Amino acid sequence: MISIRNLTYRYNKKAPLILDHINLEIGHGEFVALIGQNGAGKTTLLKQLNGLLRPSSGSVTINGLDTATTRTSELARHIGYLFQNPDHQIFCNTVYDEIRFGLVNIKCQPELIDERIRKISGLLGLDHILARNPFTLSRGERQRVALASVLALETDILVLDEPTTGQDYKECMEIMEIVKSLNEQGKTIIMVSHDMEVVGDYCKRTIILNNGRVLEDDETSIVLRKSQSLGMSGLEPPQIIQLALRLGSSFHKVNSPEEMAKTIISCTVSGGVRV
Amino acid sequence: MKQMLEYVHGNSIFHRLNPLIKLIWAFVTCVACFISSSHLFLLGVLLMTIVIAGISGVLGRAMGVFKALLVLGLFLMLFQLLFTPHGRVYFYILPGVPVTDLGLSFSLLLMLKMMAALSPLSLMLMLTPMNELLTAMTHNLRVPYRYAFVVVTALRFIPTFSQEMDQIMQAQRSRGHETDTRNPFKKVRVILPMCIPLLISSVRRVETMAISLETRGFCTGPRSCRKKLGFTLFDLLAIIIVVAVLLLSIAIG
Amino acid sequence: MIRFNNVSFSYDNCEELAVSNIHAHIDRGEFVGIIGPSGAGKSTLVNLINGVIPHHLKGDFYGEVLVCGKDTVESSCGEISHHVGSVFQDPESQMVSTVVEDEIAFGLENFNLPADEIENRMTDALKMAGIEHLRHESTAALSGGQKQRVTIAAAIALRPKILVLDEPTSELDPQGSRQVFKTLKRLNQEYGMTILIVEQKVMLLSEFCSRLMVMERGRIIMDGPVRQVLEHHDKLLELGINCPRVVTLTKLLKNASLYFGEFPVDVNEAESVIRRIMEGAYDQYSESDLSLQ
Ligand SMILES: Nc1ncnc2c1ncn2[C@@H]1O[C@H](COP(=O)(O)OP(=O)(O)OP(=O)(O)O)[C@@H](O)[C@H]1O
Ligand SMILES: Nc1ncnc2c1ncn2[C@@H]1O[C@H](COP(=O)(O)OP(=O)(O)O)[C@@H](O)[C@H]1O
Ligand SMILES: [Mg+2]
Ligand SMILES: [Mg+2]
Repeated sequence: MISIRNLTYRYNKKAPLILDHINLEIGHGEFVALIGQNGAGKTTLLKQLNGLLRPSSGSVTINGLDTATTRTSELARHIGYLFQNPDHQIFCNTVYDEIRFGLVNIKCQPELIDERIRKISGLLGLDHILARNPFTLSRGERQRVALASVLALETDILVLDEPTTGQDYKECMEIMEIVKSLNEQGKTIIMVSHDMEVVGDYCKRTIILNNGRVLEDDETSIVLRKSQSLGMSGLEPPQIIQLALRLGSSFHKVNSPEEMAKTIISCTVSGGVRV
Repeated sequence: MKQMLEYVHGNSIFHRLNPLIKLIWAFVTCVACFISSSHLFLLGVLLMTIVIAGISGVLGRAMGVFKALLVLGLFLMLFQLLFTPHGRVYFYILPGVPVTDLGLSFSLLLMLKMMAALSPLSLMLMLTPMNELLTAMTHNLRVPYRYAFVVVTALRFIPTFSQEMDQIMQAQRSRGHETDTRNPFKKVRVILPMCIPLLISSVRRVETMAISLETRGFCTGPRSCRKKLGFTLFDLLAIIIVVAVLLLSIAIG
Repeated sequence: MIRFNNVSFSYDNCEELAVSNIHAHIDRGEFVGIIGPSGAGKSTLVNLINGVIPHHLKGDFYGEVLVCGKDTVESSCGEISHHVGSVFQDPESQMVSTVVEDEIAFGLENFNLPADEIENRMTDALKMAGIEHLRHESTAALSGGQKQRVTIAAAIALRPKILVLDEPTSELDPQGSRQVFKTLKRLNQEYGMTILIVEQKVMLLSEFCSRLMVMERGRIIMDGPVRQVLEHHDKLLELGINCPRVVTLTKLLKNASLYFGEFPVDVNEAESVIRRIMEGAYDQYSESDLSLQ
């Protein structure tokens, strides 16, 4: 579905290599987290997926389309892209128009447009501000407007660059629940996040990008236990996994506070028996 | 566009030249080129600019500028060519529209003038950090800091605008809008509606920047500067060359 | 150092009060974390301190804000800037220069510092923010997180008496965020800098701050030492504020009557709590005896 072969990229001829021989296959319906240090090349890699940037060498194929020869506006039918900074993405005068923009471009039937806008704004809690100018909204709200405008296109791949920054905890959970339910409906999700707890709770597969190379690529609970790889990539495991790693082998499957509490309780009970 | 005016970090002899000299060089050359009507002189100036760009390691960028100027120049040349009916006629492009030797010489001159006059300005901006330019203007030319800052910031905003426009276009493209069309007429139709959002976002940007300026002590008292800008022997040499060029242009006529 | 006397504020184009009836006092050398759902008025509070309100953002202002003993309405934004350094929420639009180095030197030059002092502070700030290698980079070619680091470095370099930061680590990687908090802690201890930081990363706030303020709908609804505020984790969750996972864990252990002590605020403390539980150190009776004394 998404296949990246030997991808290298530099911003210009004299600049250093930002992506260095990347090979990745991402299948239908996956939920992938891309994590790494500031400046590791995460955004650069995501922009390759819908042709906003094109490979210096190697190839990127999306649903059989080579991004080197396919226009971004065409790839937009397959891939929805959420920018890291919502202000880079918002340009209309009202929230309503902002969400409508993409729908018109993909030639959605006029009768359906309004319905889709209502649906998506309801989902993201934007109904009451549809008529507002996006620039007067809070950062959290702008982020959700940007997300709504992407989700409205109902593409089967969603590429999300830090979808939860600038959100408070509750908004963050709401967004992730929406993303999760989209994934359950069969959409492929690729997201960047610096919040290891979000990654640990929601993403099934995690890729660590380090200096433009893929350092780790495995199931999330496995990757988040690789302290060394995480350490050299500016990351740290979530608190509970840090604890689990320190407390030894009986905790090697523990990922959440609930699991950990359960394990501790069972340990103390058996400990009591032991003495 | 953004490539043409942006500073490129480096440590060449021209990077280290006193910014005042560079400023003078750019303006004097500009004036000299407008005074002069000698093809040879203009060609010489152009060649000098290319050599300087080469030595400073920004030839790639500079070539982009030359190319852009060349395209503009060719347009001008074509106009001039078509509207100078005097002189010996070589041939007719259209019935009644002749190409003459005078026309050819004039239009070539115009094109050379434009390229030779404007390229040093752009090169100066590539080789001079904004803050040195500011220092030269405030310390040497005695322009009040506030105004100098406005001028320099206006220059700085040109690349910022084009970047912002790029970002909006990227955003539109990624939502299925064909800003990536090759057809120039379609492209204009696509770009025009973007002007308003661009304006709004830049007004907002300027507002936030004003806040940021004030909270960092902008114009609240005397100001120091980080780099002492001394004059070296090379600066002296450079100024002599600049004056020589000016004199030459007057002499040649 | 900072005093709010019954402050309320509403923006011009908005009838609702963005903050209302704020009473607070912040002493010299405090390290205060502010947390709250979005729209709670955190940024507004911060902008009241650095003078952006009422000098740049207009609206109805009630009460008074005293910074270093002076009323912010009476001093100009520029004057206040000599005591208060600020980092705003959006890294991009607050940058004034095209080159990283210039961006950091900008404030230092405005404050008329000598050249060698500027050089020292600049090198220091770049190192603290972990961006030494980007010194000569153009600000346009930076990643989101790198931009944010530049704005933090620019504020730190000024070494103001008071530093206010509005979600400064939202785009930073985990180690980078921790690094920023460590640096702030150091500045707080070495120079006695008073620090106010708005953050959503409750884990870091609990580890580093001495005092936590919780805001909701324009009011400060909790204000106290970190551990004391974390005691009310249920209330926090209700407001949509996360608490550190080690606290969630400890709560579960408390519910299971395995632990009765204070909440741990970081992984080290949590580890020792768990180890003691597993070694059977927290015998129910001895612990409750202790708390009776
Ligand atoms: N337009 C550009 N021109 C030149 N270099 C760039 C450009 N954009 C990014 N870079 C450089 O490419 C590298 C990778 O940037 P990228 O934006 O992909 O990082 P990232 O992993 O998304 O980081 P962050 O977590 O901070 O968003 C950085 O070193 C950055 O300085
Ligand atoms: N510039 C502004 N103009 C009008 N209203 C604003 C402005 N900034 C913030 N507000 C409003 O003030 C309230 C508090 O916002 P803010 O202080 O930004 O909250 P927070 O930083 O906690 O997310 C919100 O209701 C918001 O809509
Ligand atoms: Mg990024
Ligand atoms: Mg805010």
